[in-house]
Amino acid sequence: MADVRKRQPKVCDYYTSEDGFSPGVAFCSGCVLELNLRFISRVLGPDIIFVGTPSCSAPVLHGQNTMAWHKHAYYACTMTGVASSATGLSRYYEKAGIDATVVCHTGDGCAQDVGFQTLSGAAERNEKMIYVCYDNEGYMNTGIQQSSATPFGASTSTTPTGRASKGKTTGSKNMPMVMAMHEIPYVATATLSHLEDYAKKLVKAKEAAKRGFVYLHVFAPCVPGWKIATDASIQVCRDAVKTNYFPLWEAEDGVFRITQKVKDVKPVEALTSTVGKFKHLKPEQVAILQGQVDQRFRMLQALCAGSAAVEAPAE
Amino acid sequence: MERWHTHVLREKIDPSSMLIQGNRACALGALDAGVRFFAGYPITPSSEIMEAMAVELPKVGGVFLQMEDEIASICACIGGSLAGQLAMTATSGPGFSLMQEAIGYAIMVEAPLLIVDVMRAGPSTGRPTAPSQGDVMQARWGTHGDHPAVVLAASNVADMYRLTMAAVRFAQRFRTPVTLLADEVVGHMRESFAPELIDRYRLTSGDFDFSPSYIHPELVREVHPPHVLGSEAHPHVTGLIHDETGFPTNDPQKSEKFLRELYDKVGNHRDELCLYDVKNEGKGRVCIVAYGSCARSARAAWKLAEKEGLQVEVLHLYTLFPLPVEIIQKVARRVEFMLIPELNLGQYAREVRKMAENWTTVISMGKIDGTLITPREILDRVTELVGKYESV
Repeated sequence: MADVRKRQPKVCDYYTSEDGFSPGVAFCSGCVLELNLRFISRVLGPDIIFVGTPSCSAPVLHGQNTMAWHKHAYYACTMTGVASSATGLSRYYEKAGIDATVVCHTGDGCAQDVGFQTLSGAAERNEKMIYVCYDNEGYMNTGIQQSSATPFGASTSTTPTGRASKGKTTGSKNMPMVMAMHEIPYVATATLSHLEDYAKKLVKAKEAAKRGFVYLHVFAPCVPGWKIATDASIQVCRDAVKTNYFPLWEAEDGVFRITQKVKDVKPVEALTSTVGKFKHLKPEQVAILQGQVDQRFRMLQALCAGSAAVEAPAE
Repeated sequence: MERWHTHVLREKIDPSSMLIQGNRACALGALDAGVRFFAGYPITPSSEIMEAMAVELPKVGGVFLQMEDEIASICACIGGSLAGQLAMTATSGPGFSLMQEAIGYAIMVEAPLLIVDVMRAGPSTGRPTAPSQGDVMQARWGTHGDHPAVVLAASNVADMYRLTMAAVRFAQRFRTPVTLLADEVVGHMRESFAPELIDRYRLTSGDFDFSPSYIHPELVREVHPPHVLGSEAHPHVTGLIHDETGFPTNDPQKSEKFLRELYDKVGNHRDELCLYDVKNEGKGRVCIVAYGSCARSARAAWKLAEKEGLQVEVLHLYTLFPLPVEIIQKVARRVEFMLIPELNLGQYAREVRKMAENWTTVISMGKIDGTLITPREILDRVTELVGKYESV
């Protein structure tokens, strides 16, 4: 049978169930969150319990649509207590022998700022759940304010650009790495332009969540917040990967591995020039951002080498 | 005059009137009152205050901080305040709940602060874009232990400006946190706002002194001398009950003295702190006691009633706490009914009842469906009361 080439799996091969979300959900036009939620729902199957907060995904998950709805169980808790609220669920399910996956689905503001304390606590206790942070680099639902995920130089309503203020002065928190340092079973980054990669990670996440805490960091550009065209969000995701601005990697039991190795890395300007929130950046500011991106990538490479992982073949 | 409206936009504007949002008017009021430190966290419906501060504070050399949550926001404000800079934060119900522990701390260490709570329908996430007055008792008793509270309530855009100034002044004079409550609709509403109006009703004399250890000469016997961190004195600041040296004490006499002094510095100055407006004074059998957006409906109801040949009195409260005991009791002596329309289930009506029930019948009119109380609804209730008891 050597002449039969092994068929490469396609994204749809990872689907285990129907899409749990009805048509007509209330996301902004061009928002990748809709794809993200539908994708999680299809890959992880029907037995998931979403835990979320007031956020961009709230209008859909909370059911604030007029007609659209979803089939999943949903627990809308407070911003501060997502991971601890989910802890209550997962501990009870474990005790009662219920086979269900608890999936926290929050934005970067909740995961990295206001809900960070409980997230870190749950990771340290190695609670059995998946925590998905969709990173749109700011508080988009309340009107595009900065968060600790907002990158250097980005313009938001609280880091305005003008005479006295030139966008955000500090870089973003390297959140997936922070979570990896909690030494939990599985940490990965993913984005919506690389769905196959994302699907593999979700499948691994579901397995790893039987052993302990899983953190997935999903890069999710915001159309109005980033001032991009409604048809550009997937391209922005792709550019973020190609420029190493958002490298796709995973850490399985402490072994780091880059899952999408980029052959010809583009300068970060390939991303910033297409995104409105970076439009005002001067070359020297872009250079600072490039420096941060390079530094982070070098650290990631060092971790991959240091944890003796075998890297994926180049794309 | 020139001083404050230049903050709005760089271009020349017609000073007679301008269209401005309530939240933005609040930010301008704070800037004019001299606030140069803001730490906050985004939350609907108060985010515009923070956004305005993010734009304006860097221009005047102030400190603007977006913090990781509301607990961090108020704690940063206490830090700024203890370093000698009067600080401000703005939030809504859920964030205000998170702040409560630190508000108690600020009262204890006597840190002057301004907290703006733009109220949305609660509890919990509630309805973020629906107006409410559900945080009234949280503003009074949200933090634990016996403590004083200064709480103001804004009813329109001009109020957002002038009451912010008043709140800053009270905070600075009495060295205590002051809460300014606004209903969502007051924060988000845009209306014309004339500078002349501000001058006419200016509540503050503008005699701010922001030097860190300043206490107004009138108050030196009542307000404890501030401990300024960063001064040469190396002070000790603690949330434990302490004496005037700043060090903790377990002495029962000193403990009681300290707490009573905290209470009295506010309670003894009700005449200064209690701001209100009486309309149609001494006429009619019913007085509508109202604050926030309901006060506007109450004023409209009074005009409507006048057209229909009925007299009603309106007591518009700008200060909710300390309780305006004197004016409530004065009005209670002359009317048969006090009607209190509010966007909660009678939180403030209970307070009024305690003060006035010896002289009058206090009737609560609560609404919690996320809509405003209309003048007609108030008037219908008044007509019902007057008609019902006509023969009595």
